[in-house]
Amino acid sequence: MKNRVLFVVTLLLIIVTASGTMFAQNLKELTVFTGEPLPEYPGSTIVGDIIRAETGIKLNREALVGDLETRVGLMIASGDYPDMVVAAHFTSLLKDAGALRPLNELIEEHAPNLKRLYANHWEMLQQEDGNVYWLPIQAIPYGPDKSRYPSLAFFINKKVLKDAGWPIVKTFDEYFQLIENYVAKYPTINGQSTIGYLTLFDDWRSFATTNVPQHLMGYPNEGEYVPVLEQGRYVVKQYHTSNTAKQYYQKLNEMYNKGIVDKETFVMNYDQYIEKLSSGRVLGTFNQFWQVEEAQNYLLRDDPDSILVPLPIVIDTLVEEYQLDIPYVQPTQGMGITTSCKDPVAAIKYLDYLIKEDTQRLIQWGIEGEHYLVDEDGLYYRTPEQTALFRDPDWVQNVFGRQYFHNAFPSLRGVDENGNMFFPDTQPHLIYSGSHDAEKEVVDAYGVQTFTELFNEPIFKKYFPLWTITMPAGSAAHIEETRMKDVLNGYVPRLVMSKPAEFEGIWANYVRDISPLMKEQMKVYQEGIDWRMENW
Amino acid sequence: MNRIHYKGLGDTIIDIVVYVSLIFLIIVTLYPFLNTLAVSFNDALDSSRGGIYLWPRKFSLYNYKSLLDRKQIFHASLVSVGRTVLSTLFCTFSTAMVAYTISRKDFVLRKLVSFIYVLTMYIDGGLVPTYFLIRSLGLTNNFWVYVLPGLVSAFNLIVVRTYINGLPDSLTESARVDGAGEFLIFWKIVLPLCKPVLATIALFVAVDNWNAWFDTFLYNSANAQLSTLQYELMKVLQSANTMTGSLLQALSRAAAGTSNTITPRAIRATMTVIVTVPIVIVYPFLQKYFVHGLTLGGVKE
Amino acid sequence: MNTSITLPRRHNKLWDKIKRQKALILMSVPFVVHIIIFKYVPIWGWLMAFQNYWPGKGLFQQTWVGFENFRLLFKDVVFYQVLRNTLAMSIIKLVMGTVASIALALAINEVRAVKFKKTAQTISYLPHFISWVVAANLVRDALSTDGGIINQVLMSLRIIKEPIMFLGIPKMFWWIIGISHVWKEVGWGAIIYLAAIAGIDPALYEAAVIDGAGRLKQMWYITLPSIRPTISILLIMNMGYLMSSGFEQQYLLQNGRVIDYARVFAIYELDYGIKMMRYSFATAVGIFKSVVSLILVFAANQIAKRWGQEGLM
Repeated sequence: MKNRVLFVVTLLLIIVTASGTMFAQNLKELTVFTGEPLPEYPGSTIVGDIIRAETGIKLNREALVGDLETRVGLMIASGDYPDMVVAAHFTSLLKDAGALRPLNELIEEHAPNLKRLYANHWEMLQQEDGNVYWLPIQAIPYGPDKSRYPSLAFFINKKVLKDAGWPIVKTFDEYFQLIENYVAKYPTINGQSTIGYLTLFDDWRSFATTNVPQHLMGYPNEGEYVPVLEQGRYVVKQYHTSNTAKQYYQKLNEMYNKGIVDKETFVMNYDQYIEKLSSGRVLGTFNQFWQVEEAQNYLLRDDPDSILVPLPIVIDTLVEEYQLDIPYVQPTQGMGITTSCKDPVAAIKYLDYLIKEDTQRLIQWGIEGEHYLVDEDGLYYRTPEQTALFRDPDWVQNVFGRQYFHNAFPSLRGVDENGNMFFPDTQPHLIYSGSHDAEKEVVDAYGVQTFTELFNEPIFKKYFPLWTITMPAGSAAHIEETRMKDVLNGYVPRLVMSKPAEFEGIWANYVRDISPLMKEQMKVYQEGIDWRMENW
Repeated sequence: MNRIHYKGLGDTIIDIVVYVSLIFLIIVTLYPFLNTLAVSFNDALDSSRGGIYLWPRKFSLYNYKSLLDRKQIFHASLVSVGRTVLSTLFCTFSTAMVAYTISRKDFVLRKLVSFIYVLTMYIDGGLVPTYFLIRSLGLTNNFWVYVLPGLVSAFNLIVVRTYINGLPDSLTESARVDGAGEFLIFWKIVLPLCKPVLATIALFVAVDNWNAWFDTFLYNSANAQLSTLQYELMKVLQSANTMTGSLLQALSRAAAGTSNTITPRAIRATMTVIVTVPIVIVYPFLQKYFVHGLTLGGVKE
Repeated sequence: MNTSITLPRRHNKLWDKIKRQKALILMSVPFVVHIIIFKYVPIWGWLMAFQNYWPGKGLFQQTWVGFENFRLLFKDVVFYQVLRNTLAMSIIKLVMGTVASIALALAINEVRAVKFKKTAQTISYLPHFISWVVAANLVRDALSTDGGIINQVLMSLRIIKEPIMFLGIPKMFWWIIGISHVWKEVGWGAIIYLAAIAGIDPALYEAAVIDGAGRLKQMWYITLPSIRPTISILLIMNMGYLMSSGFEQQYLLQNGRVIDYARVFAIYELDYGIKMMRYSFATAVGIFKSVVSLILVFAANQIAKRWGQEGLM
């Protein structure tokens, strides 16, 4: 018995080591760590093979599997870095630890494309010492694009709008009135009780509930605080104890006690949230679009009458709505070349090759003639067959290979140099025609081409957004931030779920407890915003 | 069963209580697995709607395909099997041997050895120091990092020692009188008597090793040849998390309406099935040592 | 520890003993060296608790802050809440888990149909392999007010009039953790007791039967006393784990409504330590936990010995 086991083990070990011998190739190799989990590179893809042939570089990737804190913590502690690294919010920590090379001279001498295409963003990439250490994963060199959905909104079930004859809804009260009417008319949907309003409160995702007051005040997503223009200067203000916040929670409280807000809303987790949304019986919810996308995809395919329609809702008619994001690049994170890299010139040349327009077009659109066509006006389009191909995520990932050069690597967004879009899905004449019938029905009814047109055009703000300013790790402000969120998360369910008569008392306690927990953070934000206004 | 049964009212009541409670337990413990199985065979996007209980609503093999159809999987499974088999053999043997020495009341180092081991259960130097140690021992990017660090665990050691202490002294005494050496007594007498408890700790060690991915993540993530099955599955799970969870993906959305979608929930269910089924298959070989003819387990073989 | 190594008068006797026990020493000392390397050497990491550790600098280039991190810890009101929650949930889990696992092992032992016995045993441990991420969703579904099975059963039995939001009641959270722990781990926990039962000398039962003992009496006078060393050893060892009551289970079942009863050490270390890169603070929390654990284990060990039970050492 024992002998047999040993034999099997030996055999296994032989197989394991034997299959380990790799065939040698005459390519330069670079290693890259991506802090974002990426699927395993399949070895050969349409895009990858062209890039490999043209650059002569084989990329060895390590994508994140566990948590980033651990991986980057060990990397820094041990000083074992890959040639290139993308480490999300740990990027500046890597710089502080001396892991990143300054890129200025490398770019100046070897990377004309990077220099040209990041020119718009150059000021915001320079650190205090004047050097640039990393490249944000997206640059917008020629101008922004439009997307089909706003990044955040109050969503409403399409059925509600249709039933009410496609009304124009502007205020928070009107929004809830519409929902209340529908619930009264149809207390059940598909045999299950109708859920008037759902708000997500699961762990870190609770911002979907607590960030809402700023949007009701007409702001896009700034984070926990909003900068208000006072005599030409952006002054950081808190909104968690504002009148709007009080009105918001009081309205939710009223609606909770009326049974419009789902009873379980504060105890459900994200999976349950998606489940309820996908059931088609939720009439309204607020969220960032990516948090509801899974449900929306399901509804588009299997329940098109219940898709979620984004609406620009504010607290009252006095407020002007500017909820759409101002196009921005994330300046505090990006790809860097490490001090362990033996051939930084090869690395920067590789990135320079990746960023140039032709490569970006290859990654996003494919090969002209094969994956897309150009019409007489010079606009790119795809035949239905080509479109179908690109709608198959399996094909895009494993055969075409877009993800491997897009998600974590410097890339371009927005309009390209000849008026097309870098992202095929945002090609203006394709946004409408590429929509689902369910989506078309709604935009047609409101006389627009896309949902984002229901919102006002954003006003440019140089610093935008506030939340990309981060608290120094472990600082007093950082601890204060965590404590503030603890207080917020402890009080909000009580504010909404209490008896209406108890609301005022709880609100007073909430204001008392949260108010002392904002000073340090506001200082950091104010300094950050002043610096940005002066240096960007 | 060699036990003679005394049939009385009390015994009948015991039977009823035992069977009723076990059947209840079977129902509540089988359900989660059947549910997971159903979700793993259901279309991923459809599962987002919830309401799947014992049977898939929209049958699909795509979840399995997306997890298993990768060139790394086969090789990683071999590494996983290799580490599990080797760890189980080495661990069980060494744990039993050390346990035997500290079960000997007259062993001069008995207290010291026990003390050194017991302490390790409650102290931990932390991730970074441990990483440095492993690296300085040359165990990073090395298969043996899966086997060596966990050779003897204090918990298992104490469990086996307690078991040996419960064995009748007479069995070892006679051998000692015959002049047999300590190792021989351990090998010929104690080891066979310990089958039930050794099967138990072998199971613990095997399951720990089979499920482990964190050591691959910490020490061997730079070497694809040393990747394990669990680590590969974790990769898929995490990329599924970002697929549905990143703004970037939402902006460049193209996939709605196709059936080829994966979601974290579907991936988790499928992973659970993939890693659990081998354990369930191997289990009866160990189970026979502690559930078969029970009271005859060790002593009379 | 009262080994006689340090007593010089008995040195020769001791040396004789060591020589005689050469084989036993050879069989254990290499493994002791092994465990010292792998478990004791990394303890230098505890020095971090007395620094303001910042990754990227060597251990000895850090700023030393003495007991500052411990002061911060003991000053924090959240810490006391966390301590209470951790201990409460650990004790509930330990007591309920131990009783349930022993009961299950005894029950399985009483089944005579071998097939049923094996099936029941195999199925009962299956939930152990389902991660909390998946299991927590099942618990949430079962407890839901929106068609959850528990509420439906209670309502159809007319025990309650309208659904109860179990997960939203702070006082109930600890018990939900305890019960769901039993559900998931009872079968796995029973395995160790089954093995102990399998080691009981059958002669004992034969003698009992001759004395006319029924099954209940056999259970009470033979099975339970025979596995008592196992029970007591496991209890002692688990006393040391009271400070770590798990992480995923609480993390995945908690919600804003019950957070004050759900936050345990692992969540606290993550939120106020690792996530903020306060490695030193996290290490201080770890040391505090270790010290308390050791005190608990040694106390339990002494009590057990006084009661005439087998101790750990």
